[in-house]
Amino acid sequence: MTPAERDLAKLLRWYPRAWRERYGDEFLAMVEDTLDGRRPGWRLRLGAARAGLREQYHVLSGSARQRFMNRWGMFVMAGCLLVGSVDEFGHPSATGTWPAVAAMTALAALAVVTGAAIVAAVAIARRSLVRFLRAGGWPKVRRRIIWAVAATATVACVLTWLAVLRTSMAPGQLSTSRAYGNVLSVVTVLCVAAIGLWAMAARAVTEHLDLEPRIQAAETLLGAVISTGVLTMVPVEIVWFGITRSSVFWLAFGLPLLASSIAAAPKALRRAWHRARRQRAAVVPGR
Amino acid sequence: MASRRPPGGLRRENDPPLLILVSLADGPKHGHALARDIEGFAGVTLGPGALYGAITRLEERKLIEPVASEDRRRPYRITATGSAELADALADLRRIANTGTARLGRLGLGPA
Repeated sequence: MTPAERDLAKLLRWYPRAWRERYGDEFLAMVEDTLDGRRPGWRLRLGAARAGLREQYHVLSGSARQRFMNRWGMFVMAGCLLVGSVDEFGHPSATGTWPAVAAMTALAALAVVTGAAIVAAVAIARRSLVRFLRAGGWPKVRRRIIWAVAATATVACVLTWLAVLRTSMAPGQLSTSRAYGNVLSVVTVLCVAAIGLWAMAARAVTEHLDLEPRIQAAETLLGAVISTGVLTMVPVEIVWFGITRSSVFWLAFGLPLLASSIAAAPKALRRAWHRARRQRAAVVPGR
Repeated sequence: MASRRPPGGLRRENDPPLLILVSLADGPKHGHALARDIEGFAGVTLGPGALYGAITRLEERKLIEPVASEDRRRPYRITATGSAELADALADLRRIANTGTARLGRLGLGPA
């Protein structure tokens, strides 16, 4: 494959595999005819990416589509609330009252449990990860990880800059500063992107790992703990936000969401437990 | 009314599925030929992403079908169901156009 053909073939990476197999060749033939020897421009790349993502969404079943939307909805909310709570810290509002302290303690506990599950998931997969990297796997996941690291570093820089800005301005000035509001919006989008990029990077790495059945089973369980932790943290944070702001709107939004997250958690964990048992019992050919 | 809306997204005159069906009514064509024909009769430029998105949906709904070909440039042709859908969609557009023209005519703004 020539570099030009490789460049064109990259347009297909956004599409689902089945679509690529069915339409990939003729799609690329059309692109070649359209370009007539020129390199694809950003509009064509963007159009292909948008159409590919639409196909990805189209092939999802109804429940998978719902899960996809829920997950991205949670990413968006998590990003918004992370930035919102960073902005909220230091406001001399209701942060010291007992409901706020209780919500913050629950949030911290969930963060610790989720963080520990993430560390454990990485730790138990480390051998497979090292094997994969030694076998020359880094180029396969490099781009996704670099994007995630770059987005995280950008978020960290902007948040630090915001913290410095906060110390140099009075609260009254902050709430009326258009620049501060704009930066807050940008950092929220970046935060959502960073969370999404890390999730995509983790998924890409996991797809390449050759895990033993018992490790796979443990990863399934830890994955369920992580997603349940994140899905519970978001409503807890909304409730905390509502308490600190004394906002009925955020409380009315957060409390039912928290109740549904708590109600859904045992089912998700039980499902993961059964799947893990099946994976552990699975016979791997050739072993 | 939703039930009266022609299926396959054939709602506006610049909808890619409608334009593809109109183009294929003239005979089988592959992707690039379709795009050029559509640009010629409708002045609408369809990129490969939009065109193949519409081809995928139309083929799923059996409104078009591929023609056997050894070439990478696979041609498509309109099916009998596709022709019937196209006729319905064009009748709808004609009715809207006629109503619009008549109303403009009453205002003295109709075509000469």
